[in-house]
Amino acid sequence: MSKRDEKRQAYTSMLIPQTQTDLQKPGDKVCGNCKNFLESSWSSDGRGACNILKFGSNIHSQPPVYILEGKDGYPTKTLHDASACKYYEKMTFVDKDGYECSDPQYRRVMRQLQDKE
Amino acid sequence: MAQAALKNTSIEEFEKKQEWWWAAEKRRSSRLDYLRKAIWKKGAIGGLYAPGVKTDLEQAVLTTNMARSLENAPDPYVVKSAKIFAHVLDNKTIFITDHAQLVGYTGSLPHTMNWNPSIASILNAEVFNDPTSIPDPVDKNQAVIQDIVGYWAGKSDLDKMMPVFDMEDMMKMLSGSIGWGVPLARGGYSNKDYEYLMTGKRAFQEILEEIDKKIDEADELVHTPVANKEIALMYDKLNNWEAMKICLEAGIRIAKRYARLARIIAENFEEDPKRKEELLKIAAACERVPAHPPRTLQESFQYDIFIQMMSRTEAIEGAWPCRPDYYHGPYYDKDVNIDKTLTPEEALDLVGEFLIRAAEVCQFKPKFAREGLQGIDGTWVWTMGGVDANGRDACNDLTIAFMQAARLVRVANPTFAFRWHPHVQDKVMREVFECIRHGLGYPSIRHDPILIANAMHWHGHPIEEARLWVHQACMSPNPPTKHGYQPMRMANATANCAKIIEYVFTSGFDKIVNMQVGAETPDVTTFKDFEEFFAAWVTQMKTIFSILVRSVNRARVLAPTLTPRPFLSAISERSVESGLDTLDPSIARGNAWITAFTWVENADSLAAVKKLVFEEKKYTMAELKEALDKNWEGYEEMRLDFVKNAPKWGNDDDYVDSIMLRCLDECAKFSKEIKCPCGNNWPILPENVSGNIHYANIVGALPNGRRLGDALYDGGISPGPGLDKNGPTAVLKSCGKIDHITQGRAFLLNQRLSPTQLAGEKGYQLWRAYMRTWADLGLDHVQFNMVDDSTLRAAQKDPEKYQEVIVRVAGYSAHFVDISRKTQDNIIQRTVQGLG
Ligand code: SF4
Repeated sequence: MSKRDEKRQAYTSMLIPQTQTDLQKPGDKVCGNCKNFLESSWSSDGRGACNILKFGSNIHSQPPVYILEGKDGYPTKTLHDASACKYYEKMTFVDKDGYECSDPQYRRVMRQLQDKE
Repeated sequence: MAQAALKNTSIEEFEKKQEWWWAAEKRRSSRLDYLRKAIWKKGAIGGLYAPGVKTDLEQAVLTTNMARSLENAPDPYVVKSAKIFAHVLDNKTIFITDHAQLVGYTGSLPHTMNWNPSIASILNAEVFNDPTSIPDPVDKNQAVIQDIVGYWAGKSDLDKMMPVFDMEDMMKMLSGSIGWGVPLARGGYSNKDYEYLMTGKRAFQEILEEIDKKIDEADELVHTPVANKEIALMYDKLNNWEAMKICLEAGIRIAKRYARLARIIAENFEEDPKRKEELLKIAAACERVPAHPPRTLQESFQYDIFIQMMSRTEAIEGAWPCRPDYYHGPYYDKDVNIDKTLTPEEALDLVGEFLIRAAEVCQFKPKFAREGLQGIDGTWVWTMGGVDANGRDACNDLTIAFMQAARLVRVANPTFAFRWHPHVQDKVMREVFECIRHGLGYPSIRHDPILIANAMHWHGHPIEEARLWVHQACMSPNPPTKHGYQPMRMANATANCAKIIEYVFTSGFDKIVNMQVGAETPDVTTFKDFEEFFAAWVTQMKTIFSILVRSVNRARVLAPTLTPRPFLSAISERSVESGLDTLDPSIARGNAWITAFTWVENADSLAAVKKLVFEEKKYTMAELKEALDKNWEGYEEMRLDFVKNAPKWGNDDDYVDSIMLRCLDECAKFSKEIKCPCGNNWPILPENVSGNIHYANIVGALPNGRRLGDALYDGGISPGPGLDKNGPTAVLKSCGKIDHITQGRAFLLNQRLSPTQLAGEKGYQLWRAYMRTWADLGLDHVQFNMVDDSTLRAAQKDPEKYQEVIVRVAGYSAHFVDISRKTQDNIIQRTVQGLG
């Protein structure tokens, strides 16, 4: 596989826009309310990456694949189901109303996550 | 303020207390007072919109329904786009605000923000995710939004573009760490070809006739008994012309709907004869423009508003490039001075309302834009003053009327930028100063001779065109001419420059977003001298700039076919003439620039490393790397050393100033190596809007002593807040060492002055003396905050009482209460300079 192909495989999921089903209410455990999720500061449509797991991980496979070494983070989305992820850590939201400016780690103003509180 | 207190306090008393907002409220006409209070504040407060402001679903639904119905239609894409545009204009709800003399709004109701779902699917998901702005009934509308999000997933401009960008560049951009904005032709800042459109020679009907002639000629050509490449390409041009016609005709039709509405109200509902007459005047204006060129000031403003409304139907516009005193000035002169059909007071009402109509405009924006432009919807930086194509003073009575109207209506957006040149009359400068003294934070002052030379140097604009320049966004000049005007400045060539120095320490790995973004330069601890260190800085700079520029270039090349703009093309001479989409690089001269956010940290950091690590050897590079890795935690004494004992930009200290010049030299050299698809250069433009706050949590610890989370410096070349210790002249001298013609496209300088010191005639003379030094040193820009700390602190404690206090944030102004606490604190921290 060329390096270009590898990158394409790694990142394709990040390029797929939110669909109608993505906006349904998620389960209790999603990447978006995990401490290790880093929301992209470029948009708040749900794209982001995991701060612990590296590229090549897959929390949705059976069994989940956890890669902890490597340079690039594991791309994931706010509403991705994290029920199977053993690194999930529930976070506390510190800026609940969202009127303060971005802190990618602690500000999730997304409607679906608010509904969960 | 209680009504009684407002009534019992005189204008003079308010002015003495420098409570300019109350004085303005008492001074302005009852019409302006009503209109000013009738608009909704649309700028986001920090990350979210103010309560009550709602996303408008009307355009989204109309666009989606029309797109669905056209799915199997045999039309080319550009014609489909035009038909969708026309469908929205034909069916959108229109309204006329009581007492208004000007009409036209982007949304369907005054409290709404329009939303065009065909542009960026990320934006669509944000509409759904936003917890506050979905209109009632929320459940029902959520379902509508979900349907729209679903339909456009994979079909929006951004989704069409993403797969054809370089994947790796795209991911780095998506991380949000080095850049801002999207590389889209329908999302950024589009200038207009005002020389074609606003000089009274033509409007939509006349353009339609020009297009018909072109179509007839082309039709004849394609049916000649030859076959060649020209004919093969001509069919695309015919499609473009057809699309342009659809847009122009729809533009005329919506104006006629406004005319009809005004007439219906006047003839059936209005009882006040004076208002009836006003409504009939609105009707007459909308029957005239945009079909034909305006005849009066009211028609001229109306024409302008319609063009902006239509442009904002077609695209997400983050700016409002224009030069209203220059293009509307002849109508003011005719109505007020020659025909005397308007008194100066009546004209002032119209000018004030024109500002108010612009202030209410809003489109739903993504998070990075809401945070980076807190308190406003976009940078409506209106260009005033300057010279004409022959180099003569272009200031006129309308320039003065705009300054006066701004002080009466006190909107934060639009703001003005005044093109200063040596022949500006004192009476005009006094009006400019009064706006600054009244704490509006605008006009910013631009050095016309420098910027005209700069436009010729960087982009090769001929002098007659360069002299006509307008602000394309906050800062960058662009001539509104046939080949000079830039149809879209795509905001993602906006670099978060503090990352350049950060990546020197991490070999390009971004620890915040957990990914290799910059170049893999050698381990910083292996550098033997400052030269090696600086070479790594240059490599990181080139890498970051190139990632951003590559995607904009790619988007620009693809735009004419993937994301055409038939309406904008229809009002551009070069497209009407050629049949090519206005984004086609082959018919434009090019006017690209890289906005350099968070720039000055580089000079201060490089100076600190040079002095404390390489020269004094007080710390090893390994120690510094470790301290930065730990975000200075456990290294406070060392951090303070880097803050206090390393030279800082803005103090006329050659040690650090020469490093700043060296960085700019490297960028300038590189700016001529990287080219836009028009074949032109990519100069840098250091400025910040409120990116210094947005990026606070994205930029790691830096060698200037900054920690992750601390606000970054506020201006393009402004010294760090509180770090300019040697007074205002030293700041000017440092900034004056930069060659503002050849080292970059423009350089933003924020200054805070003391309102007490600048009171009265003495204050004006002090300011003039300061401005003379500024001009002599050849700076291209300066802007002022003139609200004292005590007022700002009081406003933080009691925001209700200080709703009207305006401050200069960076390239724009905002109401102080509409920006986040962090940004407020950052403004208070800026050094107040004493003059004289
Ligand atoms: S749930 Fe797992 S994959 Fe998702 S952010 Fe948390 S640790 Fe990472």
